[in-house]
Amino acid sequence: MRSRLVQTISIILTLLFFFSPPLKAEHDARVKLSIGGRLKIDTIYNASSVGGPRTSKSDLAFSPRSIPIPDTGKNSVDANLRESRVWATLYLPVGDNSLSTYIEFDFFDSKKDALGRSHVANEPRLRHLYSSYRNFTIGKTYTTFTNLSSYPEINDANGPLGHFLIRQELIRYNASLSWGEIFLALEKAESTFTSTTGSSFQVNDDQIPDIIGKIKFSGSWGNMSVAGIIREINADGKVISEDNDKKWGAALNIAGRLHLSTQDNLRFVLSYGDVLGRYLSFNAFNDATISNTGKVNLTEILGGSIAYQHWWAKSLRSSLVFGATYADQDTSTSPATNNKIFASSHINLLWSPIQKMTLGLEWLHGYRELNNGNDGHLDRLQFSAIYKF
Amino acid sequence: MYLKMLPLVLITFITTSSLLFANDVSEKLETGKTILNAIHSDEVKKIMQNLNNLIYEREYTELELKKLSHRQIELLVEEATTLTKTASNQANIISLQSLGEEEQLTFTAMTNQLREIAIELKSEIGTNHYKEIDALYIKLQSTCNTCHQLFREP
Repeated sequence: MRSRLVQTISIILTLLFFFSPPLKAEHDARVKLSIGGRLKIDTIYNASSVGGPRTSKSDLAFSPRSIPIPDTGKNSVDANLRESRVWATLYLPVGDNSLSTYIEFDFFDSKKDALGRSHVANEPRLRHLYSSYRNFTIGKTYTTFTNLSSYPEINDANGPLGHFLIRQELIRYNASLSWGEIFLALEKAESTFTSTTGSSFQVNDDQIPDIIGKIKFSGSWGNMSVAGIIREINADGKVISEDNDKKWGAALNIAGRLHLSTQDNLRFVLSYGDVLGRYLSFNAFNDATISNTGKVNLTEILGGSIAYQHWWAKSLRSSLVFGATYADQDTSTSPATNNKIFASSHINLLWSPIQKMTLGLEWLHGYRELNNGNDGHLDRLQFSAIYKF
Repeated sequence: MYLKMLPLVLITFITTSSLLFANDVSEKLETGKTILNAIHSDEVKKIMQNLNNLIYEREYTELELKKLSHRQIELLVEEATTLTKTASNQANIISLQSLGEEEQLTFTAMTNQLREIAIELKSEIGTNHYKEIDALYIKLQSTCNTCHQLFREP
Protein backbone atom coordinates (compact mmCIF):
# COMPACT_ATOMS: atom_id res chain seq x y z
CA MET A 1 0.00 0.00 0.00
CA ARG A 2 2.76 2.35 1.03
CA SER A 3 4.88 1.54 -1.98
CA ARG A 4 1.89 2.26 -4.22
CA LEU A 5 1.48 5.64 -2.55
CA VAL A 6 5.15 6.39 -3.00
CA GLN A 7 4.98 5.33 -6.66
CA THR A 8 1.97 7.56 -7.25
CA ILE A 9 3.63 10.55 -5.64
CA SER A 10 6.85 9.89 -7.57
CA ILE A 11 4.91 9.91 -10.84
CA ILE A 12 3.10 13.12 -9.88
CA LEU A 13 6.41 14.73 -8.93
CA THR A 14 8.04 13.68 -12.18
CA LEU A 15 5.13 15.04 -14.21
CA LEU A 16 5.11 18.28 -12.27
CA PHE A 17 8.82 18.67 -12.68
CA PHE A 18 8.83 18.28 -16.44
CA PHE A 19 5.61 20.18 -17.08
CA SER A 20 6.14 23.35 -15.09
CA PRO A 21 4.71 25.99 -14.60
CA PRO A 22 2.39 24.74 -11.80
CA LEU A 23 -0.67 22.82 -12.82
CA LYS A 24 -3.83 24.76 -12.18
CA ALA A 25 -7.43 23.62 -12.26
CA GLU A 26 -10.10 26.26 -12.37
CA HIS A 27 -13.59 24.98 -11.78
CA ASP A 28 -15.20 28.35 -11.70
CA ALA A 29 -14.03 31.88 -11.93
CA ARG A 30 -13.21 32.24 -8.22
CA VAL A 31 -12.00 28.74 -7.30
CA LYS A 32 -8.30 28.22 -7.69
CA LEU A 33 -6.31 25.00 -7.20
CA SER A 34 -2.54 25.15 -7.53
CA ILE A 35 0.02 22.37 -7.18
CA GLY A 36 3.73 22.95 -6.88
CA GLY A 37 6.80 22.08 -4.92
CA ARG A 38 10.52 21.86 -5.01
CA LEU A 39 13.20 19.30 -5.72
CA LYS A 40 16.13 19.53 -3.30
CA ILE A 41 19.21 17.40 -3.69
CA ASP A 42 21.64 17.45 -0.78
CA THR A 43 25.16 16.10 -0.69
CA ILE A 44 26.62 16.11 2.82
CA TYR A 45 30.06 15.44 4.21
CA ASN A 46 30.29 14.97 7.99
CA ALA A 47 33.81 15.31 9.40
CA SER A 48 32.72 13.26 12.43
CA SER A 49 30.22 10.46 12.40
CA VAL A 50 27.06 11.49 14.24
CA GLY A 51 26.14 7.89 14.95
CA GLY A 52 22.89 6.13 14.19
CA PRO A 53 22.14 4.07 11.09
CA ARG A 54 23.14 5.23 7.65
CA THR A 55 21.06 8.21 6.47
CA SER A 56 19.52 8.69 9.91
CA LYS A 57 17.97 12.13 10.39
CA SER A 58 21.08 13.28 12.26
CA ASP A 59 23.16 12.50 9.17
CA LEU A 60 20.92 14.59 6.95
CA ALA A 61 19.86 17.51 9.14
CA PHE A 62 21.96 19.12 11.88
CA SER A 63 20.87 17.64 15.18
CA PRO A 64 22.65 19.29 18.15
CA ARG A 65 22.32 16.27 20.43
CA SER A 66 24.15 14.11 17.90
CA ILE A 67 27.42 16.09 18.03
CA PRO A 68 29.81 13.32 19.12
CA ILE A 69 31.57 13.49 22.50
CA PRO A 70 34.31 12.41 22.18
CA ASP A 71 35.06 12.73 18.47
CA THR A 72 34.48 9.41 16.74
CA GLY A 73 37.35 9.99 14.34
CA LYS A 74 35.19 8.69 11.50
CA ASN A 75 33.62 10.69 8.70
CA SER A 76 30.72 10.11 6.35
CA VAL A 77 29.40 11.18 2.97
CA ASP A 78 25.74 11.08 2.13
CA ALA A 79 23.26 12.19 -0.50
CA ASN A 80 19.51 12.50 -0.34
CA LEU A 81 16.50 14.35 -1.68
CA ARG A 82 14.27 14.01 1.36
CA GLU A 83 13.88 17.76 1.78
CA SER A 84 12.07 17.90 -1.53
CA ARG A 85 8.52 19.11 -1.09
CA VAL A 86 5.20 18.95 -2.87
CA TRP A 87 2.31 21.24 -2.01
CA ALA A 88 -1.21 22.17 -3.04
CA THR A 89 -3.35 25.22 -2.33
CA LEU A 90 -7.07 25.61 -2.77
CA TYR A 91 -8.89 28.94 -2.72
CA LEU A 92 -12.60 28.55 -2.29
CA PRO A 93 -14.98 31.52 -2.21
CA VAL A 94 -17.10 31.56 0.94
CA GLY A 95 -19.36 34.56 1.36
CA ASP A 96 -17.51 37.75 0.54
CA ASN A 97 -14.13 36.21 1.39
CA SER A 98 -11.99 33.18 0.48
CA LEU A 99 -11.30 29.97 2.38
CA SER A 100 -7.68 29.06 1.75
CA THR A 101 -6.43 25.52 2.35
CA TYR A 102 -2.84 24.39 2.16
CA ILE A 103 -1.20 20.96 2.29
CA GLU A 104 2.51 20.18 2.03
CA PHE A 105 4.64 17.04 2.22
CA ASP A 106 8.33 16.31 2.32
CA PHE A 107 10.09 12.92 2.39
CA PHE A 108 11.87 13.07 5.70
CA ASP A 109 10.06 10.08 7.13
CA SER A 110 12.14 7.77 5.00
CA LYS A 111 13.12 4.54 6.65
CA LYS A 112 15.32 1.64 5.70
CA ASP A 113 13.78 -1.37 4.03
CA ALA A 114 13.95 -4.89 5.50
CA LEU A 115 17.44 -5.36 4.08
CA GLY A 116 18.71 -2.15 5.60
CA ARG A 117 18.91 -0.26 2.31
CA SER A 118 17.97 3.33 2.93
CA HIS A 119 17.72 4.34 -0.73
CA VAL A 120 14.71 2.10 -1.39
CA ALA A 121 12.05 3.68 0.80
CA ASN A 122 11.17 7.36 0.58
CA GLU A 123 8.00 7.92 2.53
CA PRO A 124 6.13 11.22 2.52
CA ARG A 125 5.76 13.20 5.73
CA LEU A 126 3.02 15.75 6.33
CA ARG A 127 4.54 19.18 7.00
CA HIS A 128 1.50 21.45 6.80
CA LEU A 129 -2.23 21.01 6.55
CA TYR A 130 -4.33 24.03 7.46
CA SER A 131 -7.18 26.26 6.41
CA SER A 132 -7.52 30.00 6.82
CA TYR A 133 -10.69 32.03 6.69
CA ARG A 134 -10.75 35.75 7.44
CA ASN A 135 -8.74 36.10 10.66
CA PHE A 136 -8.69 32.45 11.69
CA THR A 137 -6.31 29.61 10.93
CA ILE A 138 -6.82 26.02 12.00
CA GLY A 139 -4.64 22.99 11.33
CA LYS A 140 -0.98 22.03 11.46
CA THR A 141 1.64 24.63 10.56
CA TYR A 142 4.49 26.68 12.04
CA THR A 143 4.00 27.69 15.65
CA THR A 144 2.81 31.26 16.21
CA PHE A 145 5.73 31.70 18.62
CA THR A 146 8.25 31.82 15.77
CA ASN A 147 9.01 34.64 13.36
CA LEU A 148 9.68 32.88 10.08
CA SER A 149 11.30 35.87 8.41
CA SER A 150 14.11 35.80 10.99
CA TYR A 151 15.13 32.34 9.76
CA PRO A 152 18.28 32.56 7.63
CA GLU A 153 18.67 31.22 4.10
CA ILE A 154 20.74 28.09 4.67
CA ASN A 155 21.13 24.65 3.10
CA ASP A 156 20.86 22.71 6.34
CA ALA A 157 17.40 21.30 7.00
CA ASN A 158 17.34 22.19 10.70
CA GLY A 159 19.08 25.50 11.00
CA PRO A 160 21.01 27.55 13.51
CA LEU A 161 20.86 26.81 17.21
CA GLY A 162 18.87 29.33 19.20
CA HIS A 163 16.22 29.31 16.48
CA PHE A 164 13.09 27.19 16.14
CA LEU A 165 10.75 26.12 13.34
CA ILE A 166 8.43 23.59 14.90
CA ARG A 167 5.14 22.78 13.23
CA GLN A 168 2.15 21.68 15.27
CA GLU A 169 -1.63 21.68 15.49
CA LEU A 170 -3.11 25.06 16.37
CA ILE A 171 -6.05 27.43 16.31
CA ARG A 172 -4.95 30.98 15.60
CA TYR A 173 -6.55 34.39 15.39
CA ASN A 174 -4.68 37.20 13.71
CA ALA A 175 -5.61 40.76 12.84
CA SER A 176 -3.81 42.98 10.34
CA LEU A 177 -3.37 46.60 11.35
CA SER A 178 -1.75 49.53 9.58
CA TRP A 179 1.53 49.02 11.50
CA GLY A 180 1.62 45.22 11.47
CA GLU A 181 -0.26 42.29 12.94
CA ILE A 182 -1.37 40.77 16.23
CA PHE A 183 -1.73 37.02 16.86
CA LEU A 184 -3.37 34.90 19.52
CA ALA A 185 -3.17 31.11 19.43
CA LEU A 186 -3.86 27.90 21.25
CA GLU A 187 -1.41 25.21 20.22
CA LYS A 188 -0.81 21.55 20.87
CA ALA A 189 0.65 20.81 24.29
CA GLU A 190 3.41 18.28 24.80
CA SER A 191 5.57 18.16 27.95
CA THR A 192 9.08 16.75 27.52
CA PHE A 193 11.30 15.67 30.43
CA THR A 194 14.85 14.65 31.28
CA SER A 195 14.92 11.86 33.87
CA THR A 196 17.50 11.43 36.63
CA THR A 197 19.35 9.02 34.34
CA GLY A 198 19.51 11.60 31.57
CA SER A 199 17.03 9.88 29.25
CA SER A 200 14.23 11.84 27.58
CA PHE A 201 10.53 11.06 27.74
CA GLN A 202 7.12 12.55 26.98
CA VAL A 203 3.96 12.14 28.98
CA ASN A 204 0.77 10.53 27.71
CA ASP A 205 -1.77 13.18 28.64
CA ASP A 206 -1.31 16.93 28.61
CA GLN A 207 -4.32 18.90 29.74
CA ILE A 208 -3.97 22.53 28.73
CA PRO A 209 -2.90 23.83 25.31
CA ASP A 210 0.09 26.13 24.93
CA ILE A 211 -1.10 29.76 24.91
CA ILE A 212 0.75 32.13 22.59
CA GLY A 213 0.45 35.83 21.78
CA LYS A 214 2.51 37.86 19.32
CA ILE A 215 2.76 41.43 18.07
CA LYS A 216 4.54 42.01 14.78
CA PHE A 217 5.57 45.40 13.46
CA SER A 218 6.32 45.58 9.76
CA GLY A 219 7.07 48.02 7.00
CA SER A 220 9.36 48.48 4.06
CA TRP A 221 12.23 48.59 6.62
CA GLY A 222 11.60 44.96 7.56
CA ASN A 223 9.81 43.54 10.55
CA MET A 224 10.16 42.85 14.24
CA SER A 225 8.03 40.74 16.54
CA VAL A 226 7.61 40.21 20.26
CA ALA A 227 5.99 36.94 21.29
CA GLY A 228 5.06 35.38 24.60
CA ILE A 229 4.13 31.83 25.51
CA ILE A 230 2.54 30.29 28.60
CA ARG A 231 2.65 26.52 29.08
CA GLU A 232 1.71 23.99 31.70
CA ILE A 233 4.37 21.29 32.07
CA ASN A 234 2.62 18.23 33.38
CA ALA A 235 4.34 15.10 34.76
CA ASP A 236 1.12 13.12 34.33
CA GLY A 237 2.17 10.63 36.96
CA LYS A 238 4.85 9.24 34.67
CA VAL A 239 7.46 8.70 37.43
CA ILE A 240 5.18 8.14 40.44
CA SER A 241 1.75 7.16 39.25
CA GLU A 242 -0.06 8.96 42.09
CA ASP A 243 2.03 12.11 41.80
CA ASN A 244 0.72 14.38 39.08
CA ASP A 245 3.06 17.30 39.64
CA LYS A 246 2.68 20.19 37.18
CA LYS A 247 4.16 23.65 36.84
CA TRP A 248 3.27 26.73 34.85
CA GLY A 249 6.01 28.60 33.02
CA ALA A 250 6.48 31.33 30.44
CA ALA A 251 8.92 32.54 27.81
CA LEU A 252 9.53 35.58 25.63
CA ASN A 253 10.86 35.83 22.10
CA ILE A 254 12.06 38.86 20.13
CA ALA A 255 12.82 38.32 16.46
CA GLY A 256 12.92 40.10 13.16
CA ARG A 257 14.52 40.97 9.87
CA LEU A 258 15.96 44.37 9.07
CA HIS A 259 16.61 45.44 5.51
CA LEU A 260 20.02 47.10 5.26
CA SER A 261 21.40 48.26 1.95
CA THR A 262 19.69 47.28 -1.32
CA GLN A 263 19.28 43.56 -0.66
CA ASP A 264 21.44 42.90 2.41
CA ASN A 265 19.58 42.05 5.57
CA LEU A 266 20.06 41.18 9.21
CA ARG A 267 17.96 38.45 10.79
CA PHE A 268 17.87 37.90 14.53
CA VAL A 269 16.08 36.01 17.26
CA LEU A 270 16.45 35.99 21.04
CA SER A 271 14.42 33.84 23.42
CA TYR A 272 14.40 33.39 27.18
CA GLY A 273 12.14 31.49 29.53
CA ASP A 274 11.54 28.29 31.46
CA VAL A 275 9.27 26.50 28.97
CA LEU A 276 11.36 26.74 25.81
CA GLY A 277 12.70 23.18 25.81
CA ARG A 278 10.50 21.55 23.20
CA TYR A 279 10.42 24.66 21.04
CA LEU A 280 13.99 25.91 20.88
CA SER A 281 17.05 24.65 19.01
CA PHE A 282 15.52 21.57 17.44
CA ASN A 283 14.89 19.68 20.64
CA ALA A 284 18.32 20.37 22.13
CA PHE A 285 16.83 20.42 25.63
CA ASN A 286 13.69 19.14 27.30
CA ASP A 287 11.12 21.33 29.07
CA ALA A 288 12.02 20.14 32.56
CA THR A 289 13.97 17.71 34.68
CA ILE A 290 12.08 15.41 37.01
CA SER A 291 13.18 13.93 40.32
CA ASN A 292 12.78 10.31 41.42
CA THR A 293 9.82 11.46 43.50
CA GLY A 294 8.13 12.91 40.40
CA LYS A 295 8.77 16.59 41.16
CA VAL A 296 9.00 18.84 38.10
CA ASN A 297 11.83 21.39 37.79
CA LEU A 298 11.44 23.68 34.81
CA THR A 299 14.58 24.32 32.79
CA GLU A 300 15.53 27.94 32.17
CA ILE A 301 16.83 28.36 28.65
CA LEU A 302 18.42 31.27 26.81
CA GLY A 303 18.94 31.07 23.08
CA GLY A 304 19.41 33.23 20.06
CA SER A 305 20.84 33.54 16.60
CA ILE A 306 21.97 36.32 14.30
CA ALA A 307 22.41 36.12 10.54
CA TYR A 308 23.81 38.61 8.09
CA GLN A 309 22.99 38.08 4.43
CA HIS A 310 25.11 39.85 1.85
CA TRP A 311 24.30 39.96 -1.86
CA TRP A 312 27.46 39.87 -3.94
CA ALA A 313 25.53 40.26 -7.19
CA LYS A 314 21.96 40.06 -8.49
CA SER A 315 21.64 36.33 -7.82
CA LEU A 316 24.74 35.53 -5.75
CA ARG A 317 24.60 35.85 -1.98
CA SER A 318 26.09 34.60 1.27
CA SER A 319 24.79 34.20 4.79
CA LEU A 320 26.92 34.23 7.90
CA VAL A 321 25.00 32.80 10.83
CA PHE A 322 25.78 32.35 14.54
CA GLY A 323 23.49 30.69 17.02
CA ALA A 324 23.75 29.43 20.58
CA THR A 325 21.57 28.11 23.36
CA TYR A 326 22.21 27.55 27.05
CA ALA A 327 20.18 25.61 29.62
CA ASP A 328 20.35 26.04 33.38
CA GLN A 329 19.28 22.52 34.33
CA ASP A 330 18.75 21.29 37.86
CA THR A 331 21.95 19.27 38.34
CA SER A 332 20.66 17.73 41.57
CA THR A 333 18.08 15.75 39.58
CA SER A 334 19.95 15.19 36.33
CA PRO A 335 23.33 13.66 35.55
CA ALA A 336 26.46 15.68 34.81
CA THR A 337 26.47 14.23 31.31
CA ASN A 338 23.41 16.31 30.41
CA ASN A 339 23.85 18.97 27.74
CA LYS A 340 24.54 22.52 28.88
CA ILE A 341 25.53 24.64 25.85
CA PHE A 342 25.09 24.26 22.12
CA ALA A 343 26.41 26.60 19.45
CA SER A 344 26.54 26.62 15.68
CA SER A 345 27.84 28.70 12.82
CA HIS A 346 26.96 28.52 9.14
CA ILE A 347 28.52 30.22 6.17
CA ASN A 348 27.39 29.69 2.61
CA LEU A 349 27.55 30.86 -0.97
CA LEU A 350 24.29 30.53 -2.89
CA TRP A 351 23.66 31.20 -6.55
CA SER A 352 20.36 31.34 -8.42
CA PRO A 353 21.08 31.15 -12.16
CA ILE A 354 17.33 31.40 -12.64
CA GLN A 355 14.75 32.39 -10.08
CA LYS A 356 13.44 28.85 -9.73
CA MET A 357 16.82 27.33 -9.00
CA THR A 358 19.42 27.75 -6.28
CA LEU A 359 22.79 26.02 -6.06
CA GLY A 360 24.89 26.45 -2.96
CA LEU A 361 27.73 25.26 -0.81
CA GLU A 362 27.62 25.61 2.97
CA TRP A 363 29.96 24.95 5.85
CA LEU A 364 28.55 24.28 9.30
CA HIS A 365 30.34 24.06 12.61
CA GLY A 366 28.52 22.73 15.67
CA TYR A 367 29.60 22.79 19.31
CA ARG A 368 28.20 20.90 22.27
CA GLU A 369 29.19 21.11 25.94
CA LEU A 370 27.99 18.97 28.83
CA ASN A 371 27.41 19.97 32.45
CA ASN A 372 30.63 18.13 33.40
CA GLY A 373 32.66 20.33 31.03
CA ASN A 374 33.28 17.73 28.29
CA ASP A 375 32.69 19.05 24.80
CA GLY A 376 32.49 18.01 21.16
CA HIS A 377 32.61 19.56 17.69
CA LEU A 378 31.12 18.75 14.33
CA ASP A 379 32.09 20.11 10.92
CA ARG A 380 29.82 19.60 7.97
CA LEU A 381 30.01 20.56 4.33
CA GLN A 382 26.78 20.54 2.37
CA PHE A 383 26.09 21.12 -1.29
CA SER A 384 22.45 21.67 -2.20
CA ALA A 385 20.55 22.15 -5.42
CA ILE A 386 16.95 23.36 -5.34
CA TYR A 387 14.54 23.60 -8.24
CA LYS A 388 11.06 25.02 -7.63
CA PHE A 389 8.19 23.94 -9.81
CA MET B 1 38.99 14.02 3.09
CA TYR B 2 36.77 16.62 1.49
CA LEU B 3 37.72 15.17 -1.91
CA LYS B 4 35.47 12.23 -1.07
CA MET B 5 32.53 14.53 -1.57
CA LEU B 6 33.64 15.68 -5.01
CA PRO B 7 32.00 12.93 -7.12
CA LEU B 8 28.65 13.46 -5.43
CA VAL B 9 28.89 17.23 -5.84
CA LEU B 10 29.71 16.77 -9.52
CA ILE B 11 26.82 14.36 -10.08
CA THR B 12 24.41 16.73 -8.37
CA PHE B 13 25.75 19.70 -10.31
CA ILE B 14 25.56 17.93 -13.67
CA THR B 15 22.02 16.68 -12.94
CA THR B 16 20.74 20.08 -11.93
CA SER B 17 22.52 21.85 -14.77
CA SER B 18 21.01 19.52 -17.34
CA LEU B 19 17.59 20.08 -15.80
CA LEU B 20 18.19 23.80 -15.96
CA PHE B 21 18.82 23.71 -19.69
CA ALA B 22 16.10 21.16 -20.36
CA ASN B 23 13.45 23.49 -18.96
CA ASP B 24 12.15 26.78 -20.16
CA VAL B 25 14.44 29.31 -18.60
CA SER B 26 12.37 32.33 -19.52
CA GLU B 27 11.53 34.36 -16.47
CA LYS B 28 9.22 37.19 -15.71
CA LEU B 29 10.94 40.52 -15.82
CA GLU B 30 11.79 41.55 -12.28
CA THR B 31 9.89 44.75 -11.69
CA GLY B 32 11.47 47.97 -10.75
CA LYS B 33 15.05 47.30 -11.65
CA THR B 34 15.59 47.78 -15.33
CA ILE B 35 13.55 50.86 -15.93
CA LEU B 36 14.28 54.32 -14.62
CA ASN B 37 11.46 55.70 -12.53
CA ALA B 38 9.51 58.63 -13.85
CA ILE B 39 8.29 59.26 -10.31
CA HIS B 40 11.23 59.09 -7.98
CA SER B 41 10.70 57.34 -4.66
CA ASP B 42 13.26 55.39 -2.66
CA GLU B 43 10.38 53.92 -0.69
CA VAL B 44 8.81 52.41 -3.83
CA LYS B 45 12.19 50.95 -4.82
CA LYS B 46 12.56 49.39 -1.38
CA ILE B 47 9.08 47.86 -1.53
CA MET B 48 9.69 46.49 -5.03
CA GLN B 49 12.95 44.98 -3.82
CA ASN B 50 11.13 43.31 -0.92
CA LEU B 51 8.59 41.89 -3.37
CA ASN B 52 11.35 40.52 -5.61
CA ASN B 53 13.17 38.94 -2.68
CA LEU B 54 10.13 36.83 -1.78
CA ILE B 55 11.12 34.58 -4.70
CA TYR B 56 14.13 33.37 -2.72
CA GLU B 57 12.25 32.51 0.49
CA ARG B 58 12.52 28.83 1.37
CA GLU B 59 10.44 28.16 4.47
CA TYR B 60 7.25 30.13 3.96
CA THR B 61 4.21 28.23 2.72
CA GLU B 62 2.62 29.42 -0.51
CA LEU B 63 -0.28 30.91 1.43
CA GLU B 64 2.07 32.87 3.64
CA LEU B 65 4.04 34.09 0.64
CA LYS B 66 0.79 35.29 -0.90
CA LYS B 67 -0.04 37.13 2.30
CA LEU B 68 3.41 38.70 2.48
CA SER B 69 3.28 39.84 -1.12
CA HIS B 70 -0.14 41.38 -0.47
CA ARG B 71 1.28 43.25 2.51
CA GLN B 72 4.02 44.69 0.30
CA ILE B 73 1.45 45.52 -2.40
CA GLU B 74 -0.58 47.29 0.26
CA LEU B 75 2.47 49.39 1.18
CA LEU B 76 3.09 50.03 -2.50
CA VAL B 77 -0.48 51.17 -3.01
CA GLU B 78 -0.25 53.54 -0.06
CA GLU B 79 2.99 54.99 -1.40
CA ALA B 80 1.62 55.27 -4.94
CA THR B 81 -1.52 56.98 -3.68
CA THR B 82 0.53 59.48 -1.71
CA LEU B 83 2.89 60.13 -4.59
CA THR B 84 0.16 60.78 -7.08
CA LYS B 85 -2.08 62.77 -4.75
CA THR B 86 -0.01 65.02 -2.57
CA ALA B 87 0.90 68.35 -4.06
CA SER B 88 4.15 68.49 -2.12
CA ASN B 89 5.30 65.37 -3.90
CA GLN B 90 5.04 67.04 -7.27
CA ALA B 91 8.64 68.03 -6.65
CA ASN B 92 9.47 64.36 -7.02
CA ILE B 93 8.11 64.22 -10.51
CA ILE B 94 11.12 64.44 -12.71
CA SER B 95 11.06 66.81 -15.65
CA LEU B 96 7.27 67.26 -15.61
CA GLN B 97 7.60 70.96 -16.34
CA SER B 98 9.80 70.28 -19.32
CA LEU B 99 7.18 68.09 -21.03
CA GLY B 100 4.99 69.35 -23.84
CA GLU B 101 1.28 70.02 -23.25
CA GLU B 102 0.16 66.72 -24.77
CA GLU B 103 2.74 64.76 -22.83
CA GLN B 104 1.69 66.49 -19.63
CA LEU B 105 -1.92 65.46 -20.30
CA THR B 106 -0.85 61.87 -20.95
CA PHE B 107 1.23 61.86 -17.78
CA THR B 108 -1.65 63.23 -15.69
CA ALA B 109 -4.05 60.67 -17.22
CA MET B 110 -1.69 57.83 -16.38
CA THR B 111 -1.20 59.16 -12.85
CA ASN B 112 -4.98 59.22 -12.40
CA GLN B 113 -5.23 55.69 -13.77
CA LEU B 114 -2.56 54.52 -11.34
CA ARG B 115 -4.43 56.12 -8.44
CA GLU B 116 -7.72 54.48 -9.48
CA ILE B 117 -6.14 51.02 -9.70
CA ALA B 118 -4.42 51.60 -6.37
CA ILE B 119 -7.72 52.47 -4.68
CA GLU B 120 -9.40 49.39 -6.19
CA LEU B 121 -6.49 47.18 -5.15
CA LYS B 122 -6.56 48.52 -1.61
CA SER B 123 -10.24 47.63 -1.17
CA GLU B 124 -9.69 44.17 -2.69
CA ILE B 125 -6.76 43.20 -0.45
CA GLY B 126 -9.02 42.95 2.59
CA THR B 127 -11.19 40.30 0.92
CA ASN B 128 -8.47 37.70 0.20
CA HIS B 129 -9.81 37.26 -3.34
CA TYR B 130 -6.42 36.22 -4.67
CA LYS B 131 -7.31 36.06 -8.33
CA GLU B 132 -8.72 39.58 -8.36
CA ILE B 133 -5.78 40.93 -6.37
CA ASP B 134 -3.26 39.28 -8.70
CA ALA B 135 -5.07 40.66 -11.76
CA LEU B 136 -5.16 44.18 -10.34
CA TYR B 137 -1.51 44.00 -9.35
CA ILE B 138 -0.56 43.02 -12.90
CA LYS B 139 -2.63 46.00 -14.11
CA LEU B 140 -0.80 48.26 -11.65
CA GLN B 141 2.59 46.95 -12.79
CA SER B 142 1.62 47.44 -16.40
CA THR B 143 0.58 51.06 -15.77
CA CYS B 144 3.84 51.73 -13.95
CA ASN B 145 5.93 50.15 -16.69
CA THR B 146 4.12 51.94 -19.52
CA CYS B 147 4.61 55.25 -17.77
CA HIS B 148 8.26 54.48 -17.07
CA GLN B 149 8.86 53.61 -20.71
CA LEU B 150 7.23 56.83 -21.87
CA PHE B 151 8.68 59.21 -19.36
CA ARG B 152 11.91 57.76 -18.12
CA GLU B 153 14.95 59.94 -18.16
CA PRO B 154 17.15 59.55 -21.21
